[in-house]
Amino acid sequence: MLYLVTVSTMVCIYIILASGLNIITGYAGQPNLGHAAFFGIGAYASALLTTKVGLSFWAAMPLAVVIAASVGFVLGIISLRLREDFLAITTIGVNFVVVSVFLYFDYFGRALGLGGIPRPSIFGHVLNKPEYLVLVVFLVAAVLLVCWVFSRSRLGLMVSAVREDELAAHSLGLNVTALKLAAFVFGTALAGLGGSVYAHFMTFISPYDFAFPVSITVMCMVVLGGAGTFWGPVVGAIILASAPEIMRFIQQYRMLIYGGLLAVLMIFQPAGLLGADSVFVRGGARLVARVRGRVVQSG
Amino acid sequence: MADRLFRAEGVTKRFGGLTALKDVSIEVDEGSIFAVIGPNGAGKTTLFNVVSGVYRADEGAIWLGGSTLHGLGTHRIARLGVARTFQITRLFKQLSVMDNVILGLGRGDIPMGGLIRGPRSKEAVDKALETLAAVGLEKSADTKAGTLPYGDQRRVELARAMAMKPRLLLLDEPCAGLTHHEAVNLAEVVRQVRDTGVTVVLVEHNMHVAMGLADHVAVLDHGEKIAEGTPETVQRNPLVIEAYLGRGESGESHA
Repeated sequence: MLYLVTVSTMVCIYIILASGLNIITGYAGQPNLGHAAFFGIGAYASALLTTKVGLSFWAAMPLAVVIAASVGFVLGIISLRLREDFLAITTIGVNFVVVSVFLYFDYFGRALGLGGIPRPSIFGHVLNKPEYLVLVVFLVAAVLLVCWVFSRSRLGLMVSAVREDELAAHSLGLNVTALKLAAFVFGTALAGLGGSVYAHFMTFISPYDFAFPVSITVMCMVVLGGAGTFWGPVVGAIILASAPEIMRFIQQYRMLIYGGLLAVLMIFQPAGLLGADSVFVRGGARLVARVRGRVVQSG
Repeated sequence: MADRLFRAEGVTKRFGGLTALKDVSIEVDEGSIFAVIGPNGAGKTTLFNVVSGVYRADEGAIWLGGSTLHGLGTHRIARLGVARTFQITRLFKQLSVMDNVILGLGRGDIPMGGLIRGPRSKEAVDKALETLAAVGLEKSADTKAGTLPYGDQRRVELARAMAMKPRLLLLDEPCAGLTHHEAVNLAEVVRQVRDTGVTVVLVEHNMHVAMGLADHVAVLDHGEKIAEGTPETVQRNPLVIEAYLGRGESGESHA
């Protein structure tokens, strides 16, 4: 039971991370292979604010979001002028630098990481794991609501236009740099939230929790589910965060199968499971049409 | 005499050792159609890219009405009222035709509150449909732009530019790749746009289209303006004939 709670919480954290990355990469079209850096910044900020500064979780969490978003803002200003491939490499570099900073400075606990991070408490009652999961589910719902509003908004449309054609967006009067930056700040803020939730769930964090492979995992979730779709990162996070647990019996072949699945998907469904032209979306549409047809016939 | 809406004075643009534009000056009357013609590689598209801020001119001045465009970024120039289309269409292919046109409304200057609201307000949809109707595409509003036939894509791009309610509309080879019939229709749309008070500058490789449409023509060759005037006078200019057909015995042309 507790095992299921743990897996579910991790799935929720990955949904938050993947939804954030989807704003940056899926909607704005800016490759970010260093998403775990902002995940880590949120986690370390929240951990330090509670253990060293003495704030409560409820104060530390929003601050962690703001700190991750602020770092995202500064790095975004510097790097978003780069072309796509250079941006991808730059964000990889950011990931390594951030992990190195966690490893190098005593303040961040070096390789030993940070421990003793408190679980949040409500009216003096410290939440246990299942109760914490309930809180996390509410946070996921809030995140999805915000992402939903974004995806339907004028801002979301303008950001998508930047992804589709930067020069055309420019010549319609859209401030492309500001739009990219907005998407980057939004996405990194969500990564920071994921980090805070993670830190107070694990109660112990270490630099390698936020290393480059985590960025790749989150990117895989977005791509698998369908970049630029609302539900894509949710589906991708659920599949890829629970698959290693379900496939535990195949042990060391896990990563092999994982990688193989992704390669097959990229070849046959490059837009992701829920992306345009996906067999699932087309199949679903056909099914809906058939059911409707039957209702009409019988009615 | 109508007012000058647009002026470019002594515009020079170099790429390394290549001078793409050399001391080019043009003046465009408000509410007219001005054509820039010339053989391939004459610097026509470079001129557009300099005017719309994609490139910065090395020398010279560019004015729209009373304000200088020189040194401004592309989106700032667009907000001042310069809209453009591209030689090879640049639509937002994954977005619907309607969304493409809606993105042109307001020239990107959206108040904060409007960013969070959905883009398809009744007012926006009405305006977009009206613009699409002007190019004859109101039926394709919900189609994904990238799936339309090429000729229709060109018209969507024109509608998107028209939605900006520009003062100056730059059309980069609007008839390239179109059938004769489509080109004639498009020319008619351009005339109608002009009649609503928009000033049009178009770059055209196709002499026939340009001559039929324009009130005034400038001819570029190797980055220099070699002739200017009404279509009739330009057509008779020996320099223009030479630039297009080459020197030599008549009948040896490759145009």
